[in-house]
Amino acid sequence: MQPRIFHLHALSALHCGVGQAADVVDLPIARARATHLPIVPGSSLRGVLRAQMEGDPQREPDVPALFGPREIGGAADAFAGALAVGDAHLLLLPVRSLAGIVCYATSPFILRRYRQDLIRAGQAAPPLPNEPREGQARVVPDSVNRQDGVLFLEDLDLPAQEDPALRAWAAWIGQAVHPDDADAQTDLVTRFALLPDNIMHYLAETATEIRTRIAIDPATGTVKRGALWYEENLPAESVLWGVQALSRSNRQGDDRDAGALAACLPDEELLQLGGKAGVGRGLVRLLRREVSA
Amino acid sequence: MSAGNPRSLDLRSHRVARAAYARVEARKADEQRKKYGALVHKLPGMILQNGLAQTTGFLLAKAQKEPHAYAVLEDLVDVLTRSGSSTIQGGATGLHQRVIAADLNETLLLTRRALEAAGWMKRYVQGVLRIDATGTAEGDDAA
Repeated sequence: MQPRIFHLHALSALHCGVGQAADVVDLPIARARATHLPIVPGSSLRGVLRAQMEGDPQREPDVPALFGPREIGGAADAFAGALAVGDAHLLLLPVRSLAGIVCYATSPFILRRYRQDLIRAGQAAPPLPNEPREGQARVVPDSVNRQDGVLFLEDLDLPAQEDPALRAWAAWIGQAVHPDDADAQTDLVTRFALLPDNIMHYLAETATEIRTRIAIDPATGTVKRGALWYEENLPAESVLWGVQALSRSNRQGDDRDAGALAACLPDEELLQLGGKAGVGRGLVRLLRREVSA
Repeated sequence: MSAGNPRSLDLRSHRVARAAYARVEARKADEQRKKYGALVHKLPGMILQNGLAQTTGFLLAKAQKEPHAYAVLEDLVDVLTRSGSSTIQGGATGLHQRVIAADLNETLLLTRRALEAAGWMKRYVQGVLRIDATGTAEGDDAA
């Protein structure tokens, strides 16, 4: 089994939902049960990636080995796909900031899990930064979000301490998400902030994007009866990470190993993920390039 | 097991649900129930989008001319208090004052508690009053 880290970069608001819910939002996004942090289910990603590759005549022949057969006539036709795709977890949440427009927030809990996955995937990773004090944030020394020593996020005014050690993480993620774009990497670094876990958790629950939707009755030109609802989205510019694992091909007559199959997967792919595609949701970049330490 | 006793060994969600059920059911005969119901539907979204301070301030500002806005705020206070989620003195105004005086940790807690209470109120507006998000009651003519 060959594990590898992937990243998702949301180019538009992303609605990977769980259907209608008895919750404060009518159509909430998927969240991990234990942490309540947003996730993109691996099944969503795997299905979309499969569909994308099936639509490309050059890549279509590799699809069965990677994803398994589309239809199974009997036991003789059945084999498991070589590609396993894990859930994608929230790494950076873009949060409204008084200075610098937007801040990319993460927390020690999230970085710790990310680092563990990086190490499991055989990658070196920067050491964990010092945790912020209660009610305070840590930012890179040239943060564009810090004003008079304070980070103004949504309704929260957090004293922000400069921490040069954060630069390594910001640069790492910048390289993973914008491998060929030095300006975008710098942009990400200067907007990077480490928040206490409780504040990050609060923002991940309350600073997601809520869109109000209606449907118009064509006969009257007014809102259809009952047709007013609230949808939750991960904001554009959110960054998530997950683990993909490849094994050798299980298809009869195909003796490719994990390394050979890895070459069939794109290093970068533009995908439409989740629901509400017709109203512009779910445009993401899937990135699989490894970051050099 | 008292509904208002936070130490009772029942689930917090059940305490909130009981308190919300009682308040929403009491609005059945209210003349303003459709407007009340439509506003309750919006309440969780308002808290998420604007924050608890803005939301309670907005409802207070509307309260003088729109009694249903005051009713929503009153019920929110009552659900928070009776469920043991938070002790609010001074009714609707007291909640707003408490919110704007809150420190960071209390703000995080109050917001989550208010969202939980608003979520249950919304459920019972749908399930008990049978009022949808556009303020239409079940059985009304489609027009």
